[in-house]
Amino acid sequence: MVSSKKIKRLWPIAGILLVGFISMQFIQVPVQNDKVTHPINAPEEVTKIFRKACYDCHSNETKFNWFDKVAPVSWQVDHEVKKARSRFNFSTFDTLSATDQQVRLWEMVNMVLAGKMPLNSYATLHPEAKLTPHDVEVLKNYVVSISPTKYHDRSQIKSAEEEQKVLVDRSTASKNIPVAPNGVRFIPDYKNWEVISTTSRFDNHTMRVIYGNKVTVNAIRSGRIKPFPDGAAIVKVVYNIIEEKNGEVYPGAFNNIQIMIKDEKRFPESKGWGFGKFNGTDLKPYGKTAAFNATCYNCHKIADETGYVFSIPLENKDLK
Amino acid sequence: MIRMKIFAMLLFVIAGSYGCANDTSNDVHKRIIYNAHGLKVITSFSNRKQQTISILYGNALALQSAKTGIHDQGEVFELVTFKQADNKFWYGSYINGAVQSIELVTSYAKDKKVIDFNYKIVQGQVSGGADARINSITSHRALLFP
Repeated sequence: MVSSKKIKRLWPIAGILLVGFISMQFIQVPVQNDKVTHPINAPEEVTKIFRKACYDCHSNETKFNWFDKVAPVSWQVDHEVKKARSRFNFSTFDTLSATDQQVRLWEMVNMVLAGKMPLNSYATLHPEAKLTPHDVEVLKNYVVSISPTKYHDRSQIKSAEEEQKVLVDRSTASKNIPVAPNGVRFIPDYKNWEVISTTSRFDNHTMRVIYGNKVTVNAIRSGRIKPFPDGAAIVKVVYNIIEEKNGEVYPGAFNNIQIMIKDEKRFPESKGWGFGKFNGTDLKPYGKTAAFNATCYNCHKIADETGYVFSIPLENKDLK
Repeated sequence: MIRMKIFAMLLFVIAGSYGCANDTSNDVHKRIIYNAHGLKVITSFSNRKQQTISILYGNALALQSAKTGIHDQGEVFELVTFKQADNKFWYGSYINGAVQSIELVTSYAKDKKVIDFNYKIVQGQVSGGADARINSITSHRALLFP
């Protein structure tokens, strides 16, 4: 039995806690649902899936439960919703260019396939948000449908032919080295590195020849990729592709070069990876500010099993 | 003494099997990067129907001829054809898998004016005659590597 004296002593503490709890409710103005101005334009079968699995965070139509509005839970909810809307927002999705929409949609599908979305913490409290295998198939078919193949694309062939005409090994060594806004520099010497893999993509109709420096190659060969050691560098050379109906796929015009460098001290917020993208043959750095690094990293989170690198050689067990 | 021998043999067997088990697990998780022995990439292409991805490597002379279209003696072309695999982490991408075949083409001076080629299948099986393969392999234009 707790004595009445002890209970009397607890009352002030309970009072302070109650006042504290009530005060917490006024600390932060909860996230608001702004207007739906440019909603995603997709078939109903697809938007239905997005509504049930993604809209609570990635739209201005968030449906808050009562417990979502109570601090400190509301603080976490506010943080997640703001972060999610900043990545993409289905209520303003149609303001993005067609290409950006396509990129985001493929990323969404891959986040789902990797089991990263919907977030486990969310899906546990909202089991109806979990996607069925049928939902996943619908999404996969949808992204393929919005990225159709243009067979024997004349514009690609023409660009490639023009490149051949002026083809000289324009080493950038003597020129100014382009630098991305986060400080990642273009690395002209990649041509002397080893090729770690090559990819052919039907999402954005490009192909890549992917090089790794010695640190990268040694890390992959010795299986020390989680994490990759500091000093690792990867260069992806990206080309548009020419696709023939008989299945042949050839490189067309050069598109861009993408770089990843590993430096734990410089890039602590992206697991040590600094990203760079250099567009066109003049290698124009992509991104207005260093913040673009976070966008690259967010997508590369899918490949956390392989040290945040998508295209390293398969394990022997997966070779058929 | 006999007990000691049995114990030593048992230890040997256990150590051996442990070592083998480790080797096996290392092997299945190992990732192989194709060793092109210093050759440079000329181009890469794939075939969705045949489910292959290829990289054409070459020495400096081969790379030069793939830019100019003019051949010289001493060119080395190595065409590595991989099986196409799904990229585990990105639906929408294929990646090179196991090596399916390796073809080697080298050029030599038949006489002062004529350059000819030798053809060899280093690994795997390839359809098509030697002449057709030589024509195909030496006709690729070099990619632009800025």
